[in-house]
Amino acid sequence: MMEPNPKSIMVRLLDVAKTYETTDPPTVALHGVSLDVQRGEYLSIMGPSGSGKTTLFNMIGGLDKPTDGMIFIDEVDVAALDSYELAFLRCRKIGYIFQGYNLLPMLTALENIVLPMIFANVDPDEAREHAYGLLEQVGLENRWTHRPGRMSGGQQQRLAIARALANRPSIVLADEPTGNLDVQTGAEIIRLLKELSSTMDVTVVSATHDHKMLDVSDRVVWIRDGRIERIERREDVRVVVGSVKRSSA
Amino acid sequence: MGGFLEGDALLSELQQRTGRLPTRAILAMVLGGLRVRLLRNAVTAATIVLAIVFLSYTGLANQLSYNLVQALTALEETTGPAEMGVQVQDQVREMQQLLRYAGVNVEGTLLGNPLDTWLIVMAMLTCTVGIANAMLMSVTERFREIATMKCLGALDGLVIKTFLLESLILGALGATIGIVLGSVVALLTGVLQFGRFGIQYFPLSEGIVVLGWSLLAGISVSVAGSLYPVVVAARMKPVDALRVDE
Repeated sequence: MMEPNPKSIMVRLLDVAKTYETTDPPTVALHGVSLDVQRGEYLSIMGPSGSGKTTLFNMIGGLDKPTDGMIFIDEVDVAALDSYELAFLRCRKIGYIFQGYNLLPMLTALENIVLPMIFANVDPDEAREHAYGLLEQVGLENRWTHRPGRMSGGQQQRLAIARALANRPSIVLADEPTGNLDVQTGAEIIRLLKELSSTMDVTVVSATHDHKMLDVSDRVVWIRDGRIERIERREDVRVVVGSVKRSSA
Repeated sequence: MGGFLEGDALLSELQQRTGRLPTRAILAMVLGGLRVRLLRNAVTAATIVLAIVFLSYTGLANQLSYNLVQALTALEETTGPAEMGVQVQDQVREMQQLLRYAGVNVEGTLLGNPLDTWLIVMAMLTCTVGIANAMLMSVTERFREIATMKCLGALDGLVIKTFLLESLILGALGATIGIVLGSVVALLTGVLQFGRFGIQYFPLSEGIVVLGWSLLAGISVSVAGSLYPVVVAARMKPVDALRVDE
């Protein structure tokens, strides 16, 4: 089998371990996990609560540092970055989507998208234009003056997706994006995320319980007790309502 | 290893400018934030209003008493008792009476007695602690907002500036209302206690000094109370944005 081209790897985890000292005895969240996230792929991380899913997600997204092992995002060792460089990374290379949307309540829809662009030193007029374009892509252009308080959950998450894409990131990290949404709205969000990630050639990593996500994922990482149980490719998994059927062998 | 581009001055400069906002934008965001939580912030500002009403009132009232005593002493010393006209005699008697009723030491002290000073100090301290409590609750409640800003690329310095500006605005607003109300109360009690003398001898230039110091005290108390909460906010981690509300 051919060695995968290193330039095609967006995130690389090498023997990453994480122990939380805050509990007594310390909690081992991850036991030496290794994983490569390919550029442009749509990866889902699935697992029960306490499986280490969130910890793994935090590692991939540069939100936490491992106790052991190394993490490379776009070939850069995250552990060696200082606070300025980490801020730069989060601002320009990574977009985040949260279960609770986390939009700023005092800003309008347009301003919420413009904010990260101001952080990235984009010219304000250019930023507003680009932000409006993103609002059009998620179908919220008529609500550009509305504050998040006036929007439904689905609309807020669409706005959050637009914000995550504001600085044309290489990776989008989605933490339970459909967690607070009903089944239909959740399906719309998943569809939108998949569509935009393909159009914009963005790598998506999602931590989720939602089995609807399996349909759109290129690969699924199943994690349990701090270890990767298995990694499945989409071809191997077929979702039937109410259960997950696997192709034999 | 590490560093996005070692030795690239332009990118390094770009990194230094990342995560910041122009001051006008910070101000707009802070004002917007205050408006979103208007009632809560009004209650917090009320702490400052009350303390500054007390401070400015005490300062003005003491200055009024002082002015009265000075005027009285001057009247008594100007002419000997034999040459004093009946009108002046009456006025002196009236003022002495009023001052005694008001419990003012006829020798007169500017800053008020030690009890007043003690009360003022305690009021200021209580206010500072109250502000600290309110801001700490506000910061811990807004952990997701702060953590999200950091996920978007904001630097800790921006978070600090935001909260300090917030406490500065609340302090200035509260203190302004406080000195206005304090002046009104001082004027009213001056008239109630001393009648027309309360208006005649009401401190003007000295009053402005009192009000200026009261305004400064209000702002200082607000900023001092928010120092610890601001540190808490600056220390929040981006990963906290993932926490679900308990």
